[in-house]
Amino acid sequence: MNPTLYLLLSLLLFGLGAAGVVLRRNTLFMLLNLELMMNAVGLALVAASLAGLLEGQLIVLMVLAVAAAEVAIGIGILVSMVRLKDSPLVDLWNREEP
Amino acid sequence: MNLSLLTPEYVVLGTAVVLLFLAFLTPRRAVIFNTFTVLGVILAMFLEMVSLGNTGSLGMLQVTPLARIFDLMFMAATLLVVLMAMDYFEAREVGGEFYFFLLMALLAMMVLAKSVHLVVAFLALELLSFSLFVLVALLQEENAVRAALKFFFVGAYSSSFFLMGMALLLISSGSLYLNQFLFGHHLALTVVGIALLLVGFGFKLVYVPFHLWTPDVFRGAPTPVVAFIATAPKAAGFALLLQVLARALVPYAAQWMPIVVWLAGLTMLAGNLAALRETNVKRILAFSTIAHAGYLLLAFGVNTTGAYQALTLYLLAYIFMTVGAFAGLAYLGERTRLDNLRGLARRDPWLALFLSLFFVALAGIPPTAGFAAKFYLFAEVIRAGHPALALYAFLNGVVSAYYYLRVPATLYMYEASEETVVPVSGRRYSLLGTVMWIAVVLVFYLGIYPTTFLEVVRQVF
Amino acid sequence: MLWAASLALFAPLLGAILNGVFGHPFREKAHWPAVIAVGISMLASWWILGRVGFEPVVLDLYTWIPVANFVVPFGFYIDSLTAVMMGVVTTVSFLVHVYSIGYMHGDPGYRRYFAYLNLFVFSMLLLVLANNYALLFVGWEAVGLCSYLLIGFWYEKKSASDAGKKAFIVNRIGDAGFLLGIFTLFATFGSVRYDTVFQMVASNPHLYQGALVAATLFLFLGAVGKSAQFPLYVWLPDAMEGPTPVSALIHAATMVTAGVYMVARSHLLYSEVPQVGQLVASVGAFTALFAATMAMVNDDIKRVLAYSTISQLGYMFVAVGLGAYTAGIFHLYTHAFFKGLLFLAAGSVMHATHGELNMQKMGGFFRKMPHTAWTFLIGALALSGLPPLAGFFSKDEIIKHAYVTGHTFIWAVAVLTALLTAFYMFRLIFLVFFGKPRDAEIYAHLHESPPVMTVPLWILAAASVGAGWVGIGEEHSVFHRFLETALGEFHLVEWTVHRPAGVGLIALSVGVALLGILLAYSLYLLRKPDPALLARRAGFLYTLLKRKYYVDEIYNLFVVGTLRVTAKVLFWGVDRALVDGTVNGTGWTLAATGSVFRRWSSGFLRSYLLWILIGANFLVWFLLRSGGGH
Repeated sequence: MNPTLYLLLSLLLFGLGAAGVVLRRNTLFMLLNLELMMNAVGLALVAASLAGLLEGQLIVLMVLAVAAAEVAIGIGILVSMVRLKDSPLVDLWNREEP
Repeated sequence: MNLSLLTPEYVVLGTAVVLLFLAFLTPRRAVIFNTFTVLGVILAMFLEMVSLGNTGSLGMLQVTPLARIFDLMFMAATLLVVLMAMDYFEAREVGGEFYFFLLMALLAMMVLAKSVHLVVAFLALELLSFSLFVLVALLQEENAVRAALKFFFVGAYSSSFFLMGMALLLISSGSLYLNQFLFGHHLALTVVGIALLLVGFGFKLVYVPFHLWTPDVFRGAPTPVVAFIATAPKAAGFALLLQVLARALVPYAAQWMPIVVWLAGLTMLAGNLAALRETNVKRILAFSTIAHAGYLLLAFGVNTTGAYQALTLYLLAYIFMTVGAFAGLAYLGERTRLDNLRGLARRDPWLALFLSLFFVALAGIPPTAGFAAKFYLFAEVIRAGHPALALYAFLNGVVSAYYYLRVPATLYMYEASEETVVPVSGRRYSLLGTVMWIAVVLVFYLGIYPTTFLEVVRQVF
Repeated sequence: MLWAASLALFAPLLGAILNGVFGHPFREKAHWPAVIAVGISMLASWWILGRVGFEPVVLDLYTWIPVANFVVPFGFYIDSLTAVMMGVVTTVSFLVHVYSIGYMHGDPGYRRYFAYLNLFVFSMLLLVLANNYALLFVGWEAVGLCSYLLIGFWYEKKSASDAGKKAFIVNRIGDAGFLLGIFTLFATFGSVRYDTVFQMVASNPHLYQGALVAATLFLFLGAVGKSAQFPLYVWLPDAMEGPTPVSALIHAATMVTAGVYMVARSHLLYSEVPQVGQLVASVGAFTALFAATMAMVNDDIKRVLAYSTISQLGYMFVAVGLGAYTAGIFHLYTHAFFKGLLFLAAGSVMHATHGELNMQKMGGFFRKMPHTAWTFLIGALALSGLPPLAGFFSKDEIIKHAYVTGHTFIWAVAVLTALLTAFYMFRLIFLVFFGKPRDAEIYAHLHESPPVMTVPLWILAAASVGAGWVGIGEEHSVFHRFLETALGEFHLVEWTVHRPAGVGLIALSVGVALLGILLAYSLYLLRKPDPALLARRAGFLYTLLKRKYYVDEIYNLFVVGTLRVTAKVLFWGVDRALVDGTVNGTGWTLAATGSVFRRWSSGFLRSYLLWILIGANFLVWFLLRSGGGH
């Protein structure tokens, strides 16, 4: 099997996720796009094992764990945010006092 | 495997775990948590110093004297921040979890400085970032949550890029060990990997254009947390960058050196110029952090051993100057606009003097540590054959003097107005004072005798 | 030794910081930290005086400037010369500090005053203790700064702030020379350290002849400025606008003698170039006579003393110029006591008359302020050079040295100056303390000063009497043997002439002093002949003296006038158009760009994320373009 195609797919997914984070206004969807990016990397790592680098399969597990922790913290921040502004929209939080 | 190499890490981890249990048992006894943390960190520092020469490899971790010196830097910064937090949070509801996350961040940095495998480094980096996110959000106030939100998204986004870069490097070179050269079989893939790694570092080390979050987070987060974010993680980031760029990716130096020079130049310019018109002292310090990151990157731009030695001295000096300045600001609570400082010298001469000293040091005026640090770094840049670059950095320093010295000028040259903060009397602020004393002594010590520390660094590089 | 020197040096600095920065709690008690700091410094200096050995102690605290091969250590050079200077400086400083408690009482700038005074002591000790010329220059500039601050202490008075400015500007001319001297030394010897420079000169004196002439001349130009010699003396009389204790300390006892100290410190250089020494002595002799003539007709009690100081500094330069370094330092040492005393006593008079300085309005003060009058009299006798007071021994030694080495002309000038010295001092005494009161109102309000002022006066009076005794026996005396370790043999320069000196010479100098006193007595007490009539007879000569030889006017016309025109041209042409334009332009551009960079961090989170994406793409593109791809 040629890993190049998998790699290209993973880069495509990564790019979609990266664009999605910037484009979505709802923090929940931004989080989902972050997950997409992480998992795209996971795909690349698994693809690496096709080329004989079994290390990649181990790293994927760690990446998944990290992604889960990240979501946990992200959700925590989102909750306290919604509690204060009653909305998940990110642009409500832009204003910055001097 | 000599597991005793990691004794300081065990102590930090143990303290953190015990602290978590304590926090369940006695939820609101800040004094206990604080004292316990201080003792734990001091014990870890002591063990670190004792085992300075005790080095060796543990597979994905490698304990070197340099890593131990970085550890001591992190622990010194943490200790000062812990002392600061006691006074700052006195009136607020902060429990043991604050200290727990602080210690987790410390642990992450200590692992980071020793990791010779990118995956371990990534895990440590994430542990550090997550702890910092929580620390920023801990107060649950609107400003803090705003800061945490931005911090989180920017951090998580850029670490995704870092992770992707890591995967590409794995595919191209087949290994992620940093203590050997990462020779890529596929140059384009390697180079893209390096570029994406640099994005992740950009968030941690605040260089252009990944620096934008800094003023917002500095403005919104509690002052001790900002003091922490501004110092120790920067040192940790540079420690890792040393491993990655100056060791594993040396074969590609021709590729990454030009871009690093550009990043350094742009970063110091962006930081210094943005600070010129800034009116909030915390945000001024944010831009100052960015500018200093630019100077520090210069060391990678010239990529010589001497420059890396000067970088280490610079980091140490920077930590004490910045923590000291934030300790001074911690007295003022959330009122940190320049207007709030007008004529403060008449109301609280000690505070004004200390704050002025730290800002003078940040401006790089002799005989402070800021001067010694800049002097040695720029001298190394010249020695590496880039006098124009050194001149450019020096001119940046001249520009920066304007906004740094605006703070002492505001403190001393204006009459107090109704905007001026009234220093809190009656409450004991002994720990904040202690932090400032320690910082001021070290700032002057490093400024007058920089060679003592430099000698140590020269031995371990 | 290191600790004592550091203590002596840094205690006053600490005092200055305490008063200057954290002075609010002290206010009315500002003298305590100041006096205690100087007291500690004095004790440490005495300790050093007792311990100093045969070899100079050279201590490097740390390297202050290490730029390429220009290495300037921050360190001390302690030998007997240093010890004597430290002893004199700290002792007189201590007494002046104590005296100031009474003199400056109730002044709104009380705290500021003591902070400056302490800072001055620190700077002066830095100057004395330095182990290289660059550090000496730092102290040199710092004492100048303190002097400037203290002359203009009452800055709301225009004359005071003008005088401060004048002192500062005139001194800059000398300092430029001094700096050139240091550069010359560095260019020649590759170092500015005393030990290195001295060693290299001693090892091969003829090699450096040309450079030494240049360096010593430049250094002397600095000394001319600092020690108020002709033609740069003009700032010192005006400096009397400052508080009187300041005049006593800075403008009589310590700072103005820095030039003499510097020449003595560099005696190894000056001994190699006797022709420069001749010039130094000639300038000194001329200044001594020149200033004494002006002192004869001045009616301002402090200015008379100021001219007298210039004149006595001239004597010191005669001594060091002719190679009698020990004699010069000896005169510096005795002069510090009796001139300090005279100024403080004059201050006591001013204190009683509420700042009146005109001697023509005084008279008969003896009865109302006996302590002041007695001590002043002792100081005047010492200055006039009557045995067995301090001034006699030191001044006589200089006069004798000039005679012995065959400089007859300089000797004659020195003797004539001695006559004039006695005359103007006793003119002052008779006008102020004797005769009938000429202003009833001032006389009516007269009172003796409080003990905090009179006690330092008496201590200094005792020193003015006894300080010279350590110099009895000339080259075999205690003082000479002590300083021999630092300044070498008495006659370093082998003069071709060596005339024997007899008792007649001593008799002559005592005789002229008595003659001077007698003249003053007949003129100003007996009024026979009437001085006013004499002044009219003398006509042009009197006016010339009275207007101080029109030197200030000449300087104003030529130097200041020319400078002003040049400055105007520079200001409008270069500064306004070019520099300001550039600076303002640059500043504006920077600030405007700054705003852009500042707004970049707009607070808009999604723009931050977008910038990360852009940055990532840019990095990938840049790295691929610059070397990837293949």
